[in-house]
Amino acid sequence: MGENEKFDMNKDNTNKFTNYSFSDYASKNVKCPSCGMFNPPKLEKCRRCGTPVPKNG
Amino acid sequence: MSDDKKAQGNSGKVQWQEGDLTVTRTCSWTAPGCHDGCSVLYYTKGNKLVKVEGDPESQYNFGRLCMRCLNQPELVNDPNRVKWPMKRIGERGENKWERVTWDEAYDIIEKNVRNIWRDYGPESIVTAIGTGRNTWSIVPKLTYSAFKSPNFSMGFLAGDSCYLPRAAAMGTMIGDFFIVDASQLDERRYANPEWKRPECIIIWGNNPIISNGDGFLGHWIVDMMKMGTKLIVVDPYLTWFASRADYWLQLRPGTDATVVLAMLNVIIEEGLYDKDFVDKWTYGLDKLAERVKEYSPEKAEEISWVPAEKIREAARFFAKAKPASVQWGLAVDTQRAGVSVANGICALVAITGNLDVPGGQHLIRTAFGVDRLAHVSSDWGYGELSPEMRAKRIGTDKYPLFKYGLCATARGDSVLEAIETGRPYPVQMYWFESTNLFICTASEAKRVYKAMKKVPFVVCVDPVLTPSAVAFADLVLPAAMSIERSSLRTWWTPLRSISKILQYEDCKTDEEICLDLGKRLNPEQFPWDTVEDMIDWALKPAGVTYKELEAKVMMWPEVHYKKYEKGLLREDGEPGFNTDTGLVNLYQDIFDEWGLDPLPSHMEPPYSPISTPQLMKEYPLILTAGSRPWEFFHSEHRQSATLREFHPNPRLTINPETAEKLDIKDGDWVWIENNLGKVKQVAVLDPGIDPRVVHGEHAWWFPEKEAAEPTLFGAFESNINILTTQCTTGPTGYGAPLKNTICKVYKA
Repeated sequence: MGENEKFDMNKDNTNKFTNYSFSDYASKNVKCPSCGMFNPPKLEKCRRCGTPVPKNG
Repeated sequence: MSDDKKAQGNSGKVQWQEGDLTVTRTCSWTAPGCHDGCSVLYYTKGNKLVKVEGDPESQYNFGRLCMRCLNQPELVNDPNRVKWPMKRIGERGENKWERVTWDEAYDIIEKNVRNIWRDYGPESIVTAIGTGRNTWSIVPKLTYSAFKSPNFSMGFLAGDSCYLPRAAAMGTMIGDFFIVDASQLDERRYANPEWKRPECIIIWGNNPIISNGDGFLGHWIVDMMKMGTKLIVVDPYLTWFASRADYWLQLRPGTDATVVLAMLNVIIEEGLYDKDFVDKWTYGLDKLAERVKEYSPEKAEEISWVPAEKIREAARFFAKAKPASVQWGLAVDTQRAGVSVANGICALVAITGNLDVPGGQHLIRTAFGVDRLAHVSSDWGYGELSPEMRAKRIGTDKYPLFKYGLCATARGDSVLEAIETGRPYPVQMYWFESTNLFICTASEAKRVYKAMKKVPFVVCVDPVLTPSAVAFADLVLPAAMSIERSSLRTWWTPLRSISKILQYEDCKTDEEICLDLGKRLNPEQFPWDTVEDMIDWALKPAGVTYKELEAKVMMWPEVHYKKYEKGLLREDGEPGFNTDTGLVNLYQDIFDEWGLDPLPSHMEPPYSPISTPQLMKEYPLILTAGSRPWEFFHSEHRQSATLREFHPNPRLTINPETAEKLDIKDGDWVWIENNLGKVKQVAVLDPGIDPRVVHGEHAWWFPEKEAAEPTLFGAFESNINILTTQCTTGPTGYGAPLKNTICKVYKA
């Protein structure tokens, strides 16, 4: 590849498909220790089973 | 020597001689063509394509080819193709051109782009492509990285109604694309011991042996039928598959949501769902169950015309079949409730336990993760734009789902409004590549025609001179066809090489044009010296170079089932789905956040017996449109004398009973008219369509007619898009009533 080795593959110009949009939601949400559902960190309790959601994931 | 023996003698070879013909084994993916990327043997003599055959050694298409692909020599060798870059010298529409060099053409483009950047901002540049073609990955890169604009689009396609409503639905609900597992994931195919033959497949709004849409070859279903797979077909027309189905649900066009919700009603009420899967991996069944109570089979019958008992039986049949899957098509998208219909079908597949199981609905990503150049991903380069620039993508302000679907398009209806009104900002440049705007993708063809005349600078890239090129373009750039291109194909698996064998006149490939302009306008984001360098970069995840892949022709990745159990779907490596909840969202909190209905529901088409009973007195027939014929891929192939011999004129399918009442005979030219206009097609009497419904063909133009305006290749004579509407989508912004409006029909 020559010149291409200098190219930063880890920048945005990635050659791997990312679900650029939902990864925002998916990666920020916090997993419920009881049922496994991911919840927005602002929630106190899991939307699915009502278990308290850990604050720091 | 027989052809079979010849082929055996050349087994595994990529290229060999047969007399004075050179035979090359490779893959073909537009132009000309369709969505699919079949394995072919190209027979060439010097720089001329002599014939094409299906590759008998391919585990993809098993030597099969459709008539469009077999007809490639006529289209590739067509002396009327665009041969070199052309600059307009007359008024738009006069069809007067001057030959220019590539450098001269690039100079004109570069000057315009830089002026627009300075005076209006990059967002004033909009690009467009046609469906299913190789340009799906390349034009986004051109748009985002070279033009620095967020506005890559599917032209003026109302509601982005081609796969994108389904993609958006899958994105929010499941987090990945899915596809029928017809064993195509593994090279051993039907002999793979891990694979199971689906007991039942629903074919929903699709005729896959003709359309081969979305990376799926329709004949795989024929193979499975021969092995015993049963069918349920949901279609207003008696297709070949419908005629062989155990259940044919002949619905009123645009009422699919009622049918799928009634099927869910039966399955949930009767406890026929997979309780283990639902408990572990879904969210919101209780709320979905409440919603579907509103859709009893009787209620669905009232709206959709499908007998309630047939819906019940089909629902039970599907739920009890293990495994089972759904092959869906464009008709799901082309209604205001497109996203709801897709959500309903996703729920049907999920609660019956068919997600990502052998022979079920496979959660699919591209082979080896090779997404660039090779796939229909539309986000290549999108991440390079600043958040401020991304926020300017047309349509996302009013329709948040466009921000979060699996595709990053600017919304076609909103682009049209931006051109018409200058809001949110004016469109200064429009670039369309392998798409025939107002002939094929756009609705309200005359409105779009008028709007496009207002855009100050327009570039068309296409292998042929289309009505859209003549009407709007300031520059026409000649695009190479598949046999003239070095490239890749995944979408979805296996990974395939596309080999360049010929050079037609001064044509360039889409990849070359993108790289040439990228290096001029934003070289940092185009660090490759050649297209082959760019392909090698794209191939890094597969660990091969282009030359190595070309020598193998194709590569099959490892298959994984039940990936949600193994942490193979989410970026954080946790088990679960790649959704906000990690589960399949039967109820969508995100929709709630966006002010949308979090559950699927039916929406009547804007013109229908229920929405506009008064107007139905004047236009008493339901008009559906756009089913695929064997001979053509959208507006392609009309210049082929051979294919036109099979299919010389546009056809209106009408039930003989209805035709008799209207004094119409088979072969009569008839007017199809509604409140938006009228067009002419030839009546074909066919009892396979409901007497209350007619079907008109789409994308017709006549290359044999005068190119200059006002004739414009007969662009307004038979163009069914004159009768369909723009800007009438459902609340998600996705899905438009392209296949469900109304009309009257009378002898021309």
